[in-house]
Amino acid sequence: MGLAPAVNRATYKTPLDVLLPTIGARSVGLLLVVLLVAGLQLTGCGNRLGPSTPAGPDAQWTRAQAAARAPELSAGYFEWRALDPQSGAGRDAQARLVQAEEHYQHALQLLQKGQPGTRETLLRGKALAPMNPALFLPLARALHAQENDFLAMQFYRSYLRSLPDSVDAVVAAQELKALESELTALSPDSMVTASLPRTPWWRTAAAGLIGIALFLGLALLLRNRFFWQRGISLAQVALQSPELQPALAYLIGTLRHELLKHRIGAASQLVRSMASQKHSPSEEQRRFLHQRLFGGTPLAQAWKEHLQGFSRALGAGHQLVRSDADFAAANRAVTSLVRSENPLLRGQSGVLLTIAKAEQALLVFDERLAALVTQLQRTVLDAPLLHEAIAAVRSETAASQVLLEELLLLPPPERIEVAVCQTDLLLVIKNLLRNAITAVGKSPLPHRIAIDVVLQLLPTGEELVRLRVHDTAESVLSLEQLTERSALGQRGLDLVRTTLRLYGGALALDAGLPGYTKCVVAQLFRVLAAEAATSADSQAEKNVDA
Amino acid sequence: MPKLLVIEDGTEYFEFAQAFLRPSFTILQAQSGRDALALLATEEITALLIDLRFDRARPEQLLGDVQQTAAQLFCQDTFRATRYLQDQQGVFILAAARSCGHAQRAVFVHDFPARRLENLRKLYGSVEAVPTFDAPAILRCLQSQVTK
Repeated sequence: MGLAPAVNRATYKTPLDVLLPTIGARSVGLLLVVLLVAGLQLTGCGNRLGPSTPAGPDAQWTRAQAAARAPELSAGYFEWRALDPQSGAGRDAQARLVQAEEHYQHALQLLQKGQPGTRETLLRGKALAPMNPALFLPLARALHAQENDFLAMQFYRSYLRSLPDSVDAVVAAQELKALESELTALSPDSMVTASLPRTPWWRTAAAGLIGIALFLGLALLLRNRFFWQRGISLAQVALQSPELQPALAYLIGTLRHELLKHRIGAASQLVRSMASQKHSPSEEQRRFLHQRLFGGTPLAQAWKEHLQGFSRALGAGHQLVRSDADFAAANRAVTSLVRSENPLLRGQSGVLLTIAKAEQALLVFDERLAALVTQLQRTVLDAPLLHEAIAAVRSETAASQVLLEELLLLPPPERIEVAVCQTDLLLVIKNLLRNAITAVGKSPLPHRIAIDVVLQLLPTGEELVRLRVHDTAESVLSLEQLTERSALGQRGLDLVRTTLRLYGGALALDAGLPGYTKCVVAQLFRVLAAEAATSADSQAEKNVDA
Repeated sequence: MPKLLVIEDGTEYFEFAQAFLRPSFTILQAQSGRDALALLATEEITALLIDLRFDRARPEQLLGDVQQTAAQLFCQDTFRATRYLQDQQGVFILAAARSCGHAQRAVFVHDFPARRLENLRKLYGSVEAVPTFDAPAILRCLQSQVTK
């Protein structure tokens, strides 16, 4: 082939060009693979056993584990396989190989489907046991299909080096040769570079990677250590922009429940107790801890998704890990946890203390978020607030022209807080009151209105706050008028319904107090005191008796 | 050995119980309210460890009346009502168990406000809550029931 195909194929990339987008694009995870394969190239290590020296199962197991610590994915595989399955170590090795195989197969599937998570999945497998080198071939083909030809070649080579006598070796060699000649022929500068002394590709790649790693490390250091003071914290945002409070309350709730409770909180006590145990934690305990912290969506990804949620709510470009010290500290803790995954799986000593420290930092973060939530959108629904709404409506021209025989206000029985911005709550009350006054104004006497607030205990132990506006109007309000977007003349109800919905509440219709024809109800969940519940038995019995 | 029934929509609580509570309890698992009621009817359960949120449960697996919840709380909005039943499913299962006469201690891993826990105790008797997966604390709550 000459140069013509290179002109036609716009996607041609030199090896370094292939590598760099790989780092930046969706297959960032494959960076690890590069490093692992590069490790093989640099060390020249194979993974076949030489003639085995006679030794006990324990010594063999120690050697096999040592071999598996080499960076290549399949390093030590044959040593693991060679262990006597009748021995304890052999059984353990076989079980871990089987377990790891699931991760490797899953990683292969992710790669074949072009989905993210390949890196993390391979890491999980590698942390458990070496990879069967036979998988290099399907990985190479998957990479080729994804147009990561540069990496694909390395996997072909690893496969051939590891399994030169395998059934597929001939086909693999042909595929590799075709790939090599295609890339060489397509190189626009191959005619020039062919005559020049070449720098081995891995040196170029390694130099590039080191440069990128240094740059990223420096950038992260600067960002996390020095620049977080820039911008404003989440608490300040909430204070300055009350309209964001419902969204922030929701996002904080989700973050606390999904990540900080079910992952971090679920593991924290275990980490502490395991770290303080004199003997090593059992395999089951370690596996449980690993599953809690690192199972499902990768921890780093889950954390990132929560951060993205905040960024969307706060506006593009608002990075809480830069602007909020608590988020910056949490970010460092998450990073520390992510780095602890493999040492945890290996049972490395000291890792539990590292995890415990990161967990502690995240629990402090959780407490601060909980404290922040208690400051968001809290309004006391009391008599002064109701009086304020009444005064505002009665000062309006239309409402002031309706002569009311009675406007009865029954204040709440106790202090009641709801999670609604005060302006919005006033808007709801004024609208309901205005509608009631207008309706009784069109009806024959008597013209009476009453407002009260009642609490209803729900089967979930929550309390429902029901702000009721009773009136004596003849006109009947239908359920449809409450539940559906209404025609002209009902815009007030639309507004009330939308506002209540924003805060998790709803509109309802009731019969009303004796002497009134109906009442419209604004329902909201009561905010209960935030202090943590105790689990003292005596308290329980006292309450049950009560 | 006393039997602990773990009720959840996933496997996290069960795995936790297997790893940390098993020396003291035989662990049984139910992944829906109906399964839980069936086990309660056939096994001598000593205590319940209940997940509050059943995010992964399908609507047809949930205990609780969607239509009634929608009418009472959400202006006929069944979507919101279903989500509410998911979010609070643990309590709905407890309510169903109590209505069938099962009075075992129930422990939630949840940081309920004190007032809400009081309410739950008024409604359902012996209810405890531990804010995090604190194995010793959960064990204390469960074992105090066993020793009574």
